[in-house]
Amino acid sequence: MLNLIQADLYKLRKSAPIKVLLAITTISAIIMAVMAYLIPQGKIDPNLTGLGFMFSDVNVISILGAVMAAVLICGDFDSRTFHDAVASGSSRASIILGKTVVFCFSILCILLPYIITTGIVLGTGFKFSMGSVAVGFLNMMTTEAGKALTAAEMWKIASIILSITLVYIAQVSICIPLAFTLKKPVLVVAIYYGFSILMAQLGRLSESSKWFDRIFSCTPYGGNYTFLTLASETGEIIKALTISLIFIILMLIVTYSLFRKSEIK
Amino acid sequence: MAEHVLRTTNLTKSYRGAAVLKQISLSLAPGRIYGLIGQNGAGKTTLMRLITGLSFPSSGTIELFGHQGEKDLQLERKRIGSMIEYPSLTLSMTAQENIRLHRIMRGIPNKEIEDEVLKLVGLAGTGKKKAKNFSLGMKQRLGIAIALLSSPEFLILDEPINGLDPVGVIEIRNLLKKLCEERHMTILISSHNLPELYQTATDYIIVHQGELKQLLTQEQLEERCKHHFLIRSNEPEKLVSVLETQLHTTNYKVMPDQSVKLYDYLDDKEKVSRVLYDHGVVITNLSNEGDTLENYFISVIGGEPHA
Repeated sequence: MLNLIQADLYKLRKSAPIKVLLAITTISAIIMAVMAYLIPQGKIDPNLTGLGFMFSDVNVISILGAVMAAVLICGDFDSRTFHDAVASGSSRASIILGKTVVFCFSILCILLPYIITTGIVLGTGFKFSMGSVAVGFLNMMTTEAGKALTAAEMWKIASIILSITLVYIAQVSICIPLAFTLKKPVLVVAIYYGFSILMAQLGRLSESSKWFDRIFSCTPYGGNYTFLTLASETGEIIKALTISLIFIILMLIVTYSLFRKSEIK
Repeated sequence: MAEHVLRTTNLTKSYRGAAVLKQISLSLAPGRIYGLIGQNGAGKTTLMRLITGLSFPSSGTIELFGHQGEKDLQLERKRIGSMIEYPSLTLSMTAQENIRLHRIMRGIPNKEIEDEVLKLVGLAGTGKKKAKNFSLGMKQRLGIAIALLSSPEFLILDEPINGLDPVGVIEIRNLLKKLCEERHMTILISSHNLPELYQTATDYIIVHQGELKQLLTQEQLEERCKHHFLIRSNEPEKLVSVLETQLHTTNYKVMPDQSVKLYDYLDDKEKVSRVLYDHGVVITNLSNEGDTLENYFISVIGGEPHA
């Protein structure tokens, strides 16, 4: 399996689409931060918060996460890399596990610009705001920026960043079984984008139904896992981490059960 | 070393109830080049896919290097190199990068093997040219190079000469023969190009509509295809005696049914007929027999019967 991971990392290093994705998230993170900086100063029309939100982490990852799965997984069906791996003695389980590790790593890579931007923003001491629309790193940025942070709070911020990152990875991990089953990049991106919109709507439903909220919060799409801030309790952060990890493992199991006996065409 | 590189027993593959491979039982011995012959849809690629684990059999067993069972087969596949249907290529990478990717994937530490296999298939000088800009023939060569990366003991190639120019065909043919002779590699190769296969293979597997029709050696095939007079007589001993004393030939073969295959005088049927008649040999049949590989193949799969 380590060979497969190493080979995938080599491929990632040579891949132009991955560099493009990283460039997109870097530019998006900068635009998001600049807009969140200029809006409270009145230098930008506050009605443009919708546009600012478009560049935010939650929105960008819901599209690029699926694109990443398409590039990494569907691309290997196209190039017949999976065929060669199976034919030369790699087990399907090791292929799935290796691919998941690299997929999670690559999502972390394209999230890095948001993580770094958030770190910088929190260090500036300036006020940031995107009106009422803020999720994930943008939410943390707009909630915590401008405050003087103690060492303990900095550690908490680091753990929140880790949790939000893992929540995002868990959210897009549903693309892994999708990509292994559908094999078509367009289908994976379209279905996941539709799915992420549906999950956002279900999030609203959970506000009006307690039992649904309880069920929904067992997934990385529910709860307040993308709204973690310094005000969040440690238990919430641990819950976000645990549920995300369990969800990723569940996706691995689903993928394995689908791919274990499937024909590789 | 296992007596057989591959052994299949009653191997069957069905898709939605329709059998595409039916009860295939065959054994491949080490150090031979097996030509897999069959029409489109005969089951050649399906057989190769089953051997390499890309598909699962509906019933029957596969044994590689004397081992069977899913876990063992998986291990034994590390001793196989294959190119099935299309080469496994990342088009945005150069030939060297593609080779490196597969070398890392298979955990081969020896970096020199990259240049070695590229040189073997004649792609050493492609430099920074990306695989997407390669001709079909170059892609095939790169696919073969990838298959050879792990110095396999068993090489499976599906239509490897597709898209190759005549010089390329000769080069690949010579390469395969060299690999078989020098490394004692077993090669299973499918091709629609029967004359080409005839020059490469040492054994032939003929499949038709999912069934194994024949598994025969080059010698057996040549014997069946060789042009000759088929002579039948009620006195075979006398016939043979006349052939030797009057026609001065020993280039004949007495078949189990007492008919005689004569491989000389093929341009002079009249002389043979006259000499036999003059020496009192009563013949009931004197016909010109023999086939091209294509005709023989067609007769085996149920076209015009092979005489």
